[in-house]
Amino acid sequence: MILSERTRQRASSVTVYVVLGVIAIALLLPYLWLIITSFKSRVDTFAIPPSLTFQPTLDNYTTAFIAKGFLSNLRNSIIVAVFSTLFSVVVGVPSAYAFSRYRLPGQDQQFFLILVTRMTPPVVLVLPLYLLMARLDLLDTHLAIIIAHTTFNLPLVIWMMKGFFDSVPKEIDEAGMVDGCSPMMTFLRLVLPLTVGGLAATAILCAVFSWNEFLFALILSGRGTATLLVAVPRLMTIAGTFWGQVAAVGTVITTPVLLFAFAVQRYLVAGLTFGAINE
Amino acid sequence: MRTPRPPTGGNYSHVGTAISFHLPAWVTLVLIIALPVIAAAYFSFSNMNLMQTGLDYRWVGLANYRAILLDPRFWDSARITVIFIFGAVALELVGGIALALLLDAIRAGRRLYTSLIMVPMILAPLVVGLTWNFLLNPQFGAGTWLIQKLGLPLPTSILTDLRFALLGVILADVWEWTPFMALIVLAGLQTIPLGLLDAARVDGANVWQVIWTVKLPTIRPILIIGSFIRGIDAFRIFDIPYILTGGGPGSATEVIDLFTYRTAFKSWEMGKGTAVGIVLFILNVVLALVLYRWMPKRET
Repeated sequence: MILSERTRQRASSVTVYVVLGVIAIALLLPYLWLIITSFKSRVDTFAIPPSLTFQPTLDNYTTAFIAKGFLSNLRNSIIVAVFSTLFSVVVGVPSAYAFSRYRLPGQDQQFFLILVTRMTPPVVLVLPLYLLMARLDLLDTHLAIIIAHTTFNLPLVIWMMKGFFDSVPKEIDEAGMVDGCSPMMTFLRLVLPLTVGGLAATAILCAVFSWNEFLFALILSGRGTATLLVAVPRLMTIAGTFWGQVAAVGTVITTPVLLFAFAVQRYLVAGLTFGAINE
Repeated sequence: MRTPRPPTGGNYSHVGTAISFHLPAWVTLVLIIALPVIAAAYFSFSNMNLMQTGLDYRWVGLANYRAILLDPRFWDSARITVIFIFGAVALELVGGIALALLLDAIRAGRRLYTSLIMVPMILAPLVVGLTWNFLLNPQFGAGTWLIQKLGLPLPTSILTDLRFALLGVILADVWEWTPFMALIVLAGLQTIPLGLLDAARVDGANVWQVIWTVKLPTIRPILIIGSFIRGIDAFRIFDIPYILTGGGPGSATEVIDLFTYRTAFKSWEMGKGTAVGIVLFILNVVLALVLYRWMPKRET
């Protein structure tokens, strides 16, 4: 039978949707499995073949967060993410504005240096930072981790916000100057309010990167300041791993980030590629 | 239109204003990045060992650099890192292209779909490692169970097998980052002028020919930049092998960052650890230079 062009097109588009559906399920399944496991009792966790009909329980959450104190680790993660984001934004945004509006000699080289700092592997910085914090008696403080996370968030803020400032017409600044506003007033009152969306996206990306960071936090934190990620290996002992609780903590680490990330998904790729690729 | 100048001072105040905007960021970056890197370079010429010398270290010249160049474990970890980077990025590129071509072919629901497949790349890499640790657990892992059901020629315990542990680490990374590559490729595909595609179809090219002769060649620069960025990122992998295999079995999955971490914080050989760090930093500057050359120049 000869299919008409139209039928053939429809059939091929159905095939594409089916293939995409299978891929999406395969991609999401490992993560869904983690979430499902967090609601299983110990017996159900170890069932083979994997059980799908089970009595859901919150035991893993209460044991990990209340009995084993992961609530304080959650608090540490929040403190570090919020303050490293705040600091990076306050310090980085004026610089991004200046990169967008003023020409200084050697500007390209400076911008390149910002890229280098953003790309520097954490393992290079963590050794001297560790020695420095030990000398200043700042090990096992929130401040030490906040400073470490600023090393990657500050360059990110400058890099991303420059792009947002570039998209605000220069005529706005000129009008402000003509009206007698100082450069600082022009920046704060006229230009910055026009980039609020971009600013929010940048801040969320900073918070996500800080929240997800492991190496700096591992080295610089201690008993009192361990973030959620640093505390997880505590559940994996020589005697055995509390998989249900690991899954519960993993779920709490990831779900808020997902909600925030969906809000800024348009900027996610730009943020991860130093703005080299814009969707 | 004439560019209005600030009321007083002309160009001088212009430079002064710019510097005052930049100052807080510059001071911060010097304090938290430049100084630590300089300190690391300094320590790399010392015999600092927190277990033996403590802070009572002395100058040893290039001894640390000589030591790492002669250390088979360093070369082993360099080799493992290179295999990891090329293996993971190649798979991610192929998977990303396939996924992006599919996504480019649909209209309705594309946005919802991209949101869904973004999930793995948003998860903390450590949690990705945990997830795969769980899936590949030899006793109760759903992944292990599936591998056995499908009769794949893989050992029951992939993560503790000398030949396959690195594959486990690569799989976890591929799972996390293939969607990222797909989004990059998709961004590229959508910049192809429709006229170009229509012309190819009018000439009688079928779907595969359009992909091979028009789409992929047109987005080649994006494929290169995307792979390069992913490669730089894969270069610093730490979290996934840390939690998934701990660098083992033996040192089969000990990537370079894990090697550095162990040298500095398990053996406490800070001098040697910083020397590796400086080597990585220099490599990184070179890579950044290459990337900066390739990147599309932004409007200023």
